Amino acid sequence: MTVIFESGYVLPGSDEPLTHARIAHSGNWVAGGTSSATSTDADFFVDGPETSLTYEKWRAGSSSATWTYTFGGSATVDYICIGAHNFGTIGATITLQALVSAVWTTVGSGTISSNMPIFSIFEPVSATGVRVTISGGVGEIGVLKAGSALQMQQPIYGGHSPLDLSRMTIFRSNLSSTGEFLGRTKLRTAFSTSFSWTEITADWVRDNWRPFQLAAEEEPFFIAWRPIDFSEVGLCYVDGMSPPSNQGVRNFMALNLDVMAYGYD
Amino acid sequence: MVMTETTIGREPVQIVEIVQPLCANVYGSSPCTASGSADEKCFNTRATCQDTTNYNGSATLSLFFARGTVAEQNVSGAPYIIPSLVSVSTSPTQINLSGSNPDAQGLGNRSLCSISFRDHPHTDKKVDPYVSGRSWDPMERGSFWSKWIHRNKYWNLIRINIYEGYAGQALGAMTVRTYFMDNISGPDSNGNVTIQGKDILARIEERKAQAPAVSQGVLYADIDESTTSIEVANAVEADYDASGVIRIGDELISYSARATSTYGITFTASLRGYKNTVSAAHEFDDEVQQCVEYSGVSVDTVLEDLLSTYGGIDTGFLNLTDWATEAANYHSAVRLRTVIAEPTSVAKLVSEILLQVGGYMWWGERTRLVEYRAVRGIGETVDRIDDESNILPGFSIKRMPRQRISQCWFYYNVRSYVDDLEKPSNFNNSTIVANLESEADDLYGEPSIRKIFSRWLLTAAGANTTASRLVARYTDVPREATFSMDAKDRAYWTGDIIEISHRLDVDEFGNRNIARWTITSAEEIVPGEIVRYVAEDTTLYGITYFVQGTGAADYDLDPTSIGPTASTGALAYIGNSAGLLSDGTPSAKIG
Repeated sequence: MTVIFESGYVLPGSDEPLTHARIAHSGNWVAGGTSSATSTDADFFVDGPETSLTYEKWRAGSSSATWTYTFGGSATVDYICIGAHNFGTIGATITLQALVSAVWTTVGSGTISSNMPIFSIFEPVSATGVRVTISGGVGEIGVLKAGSALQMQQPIYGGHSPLDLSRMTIFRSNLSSTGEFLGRTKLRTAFSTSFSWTEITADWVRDNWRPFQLAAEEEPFFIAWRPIDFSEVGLCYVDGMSPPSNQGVRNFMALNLDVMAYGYD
Repeated sequence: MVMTETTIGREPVQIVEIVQPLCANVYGSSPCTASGSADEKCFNTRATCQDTTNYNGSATLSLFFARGTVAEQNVSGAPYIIPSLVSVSTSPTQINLSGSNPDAQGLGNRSLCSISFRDHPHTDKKVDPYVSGRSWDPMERGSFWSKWIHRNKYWNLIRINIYEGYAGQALGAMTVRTYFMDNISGPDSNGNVTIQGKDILARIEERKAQAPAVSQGVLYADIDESTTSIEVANAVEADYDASGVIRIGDELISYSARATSTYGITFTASLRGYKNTVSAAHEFDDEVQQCVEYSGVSVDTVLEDLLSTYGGIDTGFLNLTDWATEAANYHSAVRLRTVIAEPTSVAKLVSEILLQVGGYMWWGERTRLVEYRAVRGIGETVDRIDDESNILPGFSIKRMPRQRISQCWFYYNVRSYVDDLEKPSNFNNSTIVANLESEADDLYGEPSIRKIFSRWLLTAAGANTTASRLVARYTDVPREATFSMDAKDRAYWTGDIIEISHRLDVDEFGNRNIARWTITSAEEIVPGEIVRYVAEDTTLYGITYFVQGTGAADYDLDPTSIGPTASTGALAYIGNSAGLLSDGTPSAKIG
């Protein structure tokens, strides 16, 4: 379970259906806040999750801890994304909360069985901070972001390879001079896939895709490609962005996104 | 899951650790007297120190780097791993067994590493102790390596540890090789940075270490051939040993004391014309050079002195306990005597000793110690590897005819330490050991002569031993094998001795030729997957046996399965003139 819905979640009327991808990027997440934690391992950094650097992490100082991000103002948020964590390894139970009118309100919770990035989706709230409480083991977080997600105008149709199945794992075997099997090595690195959308209106592209393009040039982003049906979530980065193309039908455009994603498994 | 080299589907982990010295003081707090704003503070490195008088480099900072595979994301013992490592390439130690390879340095070839990184913005976490007080965002200023290079421009004390293990292993459980930083290049326009490291024996290269150090003192006044109070200007007591030997011109002078005097220091000579030199008059301003004298000192002690006193290598990197054991067991009759009358490369001196007493030295990349072993028979249990269970395709054997020796001319007992030490007439004695049969037309057809000029040995015993050993060992053209093994066998490393059974190495009847090989070089060419070895056939070094008296228990011909201890050798009986024991089985041969 790496797409987490708020208990009793009701899709807001103006939102795109949950068959459409949700994207969290640096243009729609809250930045400039401050972080704190109930405890932090001395070799790690309490502010590690603030940046997109997956190797600069916060690790709890005990098996039950809370990491808090205070915005420094109020912002409308409808997602919390977490990447480069170890919740699956430790089998953590997490509670995600938003600080709404000075009251910590639970917006998602669950027991995590994989280190895949987490995309928590909840009804929009005006909050001044978010926090995650981890129990069941000593938790680590590399990246945690909260904001208001980009909702793609169309779902993804055929051709997409789900990220979790798009492993870039390398295998090599050694045989002796006489052909005996001596050993086998594998290297797990990243994930690689592509996302494509068609029949996206020109206005939508200009209003929403261009800000995403600019954000993706700067920092990695989270994507849940079909959150209502499938659990795959990626913490992705791009080495280049394919420009949108006119389909030649009405004012529709086609979008394509070739990504690499942070490896966790 | 903790993986090992034998796990099917093992996931190699390679981590580079850079250990840099760091000032233990806090900026502006006693004893540090530096004062400056938060933005002006140093980075606790020597290169950025603003109070060098009170710099205290006793602390260290370890920075870990990896390629960032999934298995390298969480390694116990390395909490902060920067995933900027691109590649690690190494050129391994190459042992020169008993200095026999005329094409190699006496000490063998140094192990080198070349590590490539990708440059990147960085938060300055870990590397800037005062980052929280700075007014700027480090991510917006420079890059990791461009800043690191300026903050650490003195890299003499920077160590590089390369850890190689498998997924789930803690850092401490991995194999580790150590190098010392030698150079850094970049970052270039593509953001590439390369750090080079060498093993610690690089510190005794010609340009870095001399014994003795050059002396600056000069005669304050003319002296005649009998003067015993010799005043030297341009010197203080600390420039010379309290007693010892000095050289003026071509004369060696033994002195019993030196003391501060009006114009410098004054030596009290105890013997003019020392060691067969001629006592002579010398003139004002003649150089007065400190000499190094060894008078009947064991091999291990001289090697230690050369490497630590003159080479500047911390004795913590020398496996002195093993050296002493090796010297006691195999060089007990050897005492080194010499006077080194002018600054001489420590590497050259050490190489001379290794060749002349029969030994070899190498940097144990994994033990992280300088190892020493005498050229000797092997008594240890030896593993056998073969082409079925161990050796990957690509096994090859080459022969090295330039290393064949049919005659060894060994010159010893120097007449004058200030004369040419490679001139036969400067030696009182010589011994020649030859295998003339091997030079016959129907054999190798020509002589192959090795000349050795020894400043270290005075007696025939040592000279004969070394010369005989070399001729016996190298009468036939030496062989060198190159092969690779899966990482499951990565425990074998430089200096180890193994038996090899391979279908390409057979005798004239086609039977497998099971020889004993000494690994002279080992390198993980694909980290955690494939190890490449170079080994020299050292079967002719022999096997150590203890000859048993009549009535002793029967012994097994396999010398690895018997013997009083694994390290001293096996048991043997003396056979008859046909080389057989009373039951008809072959006896051990004294080769």
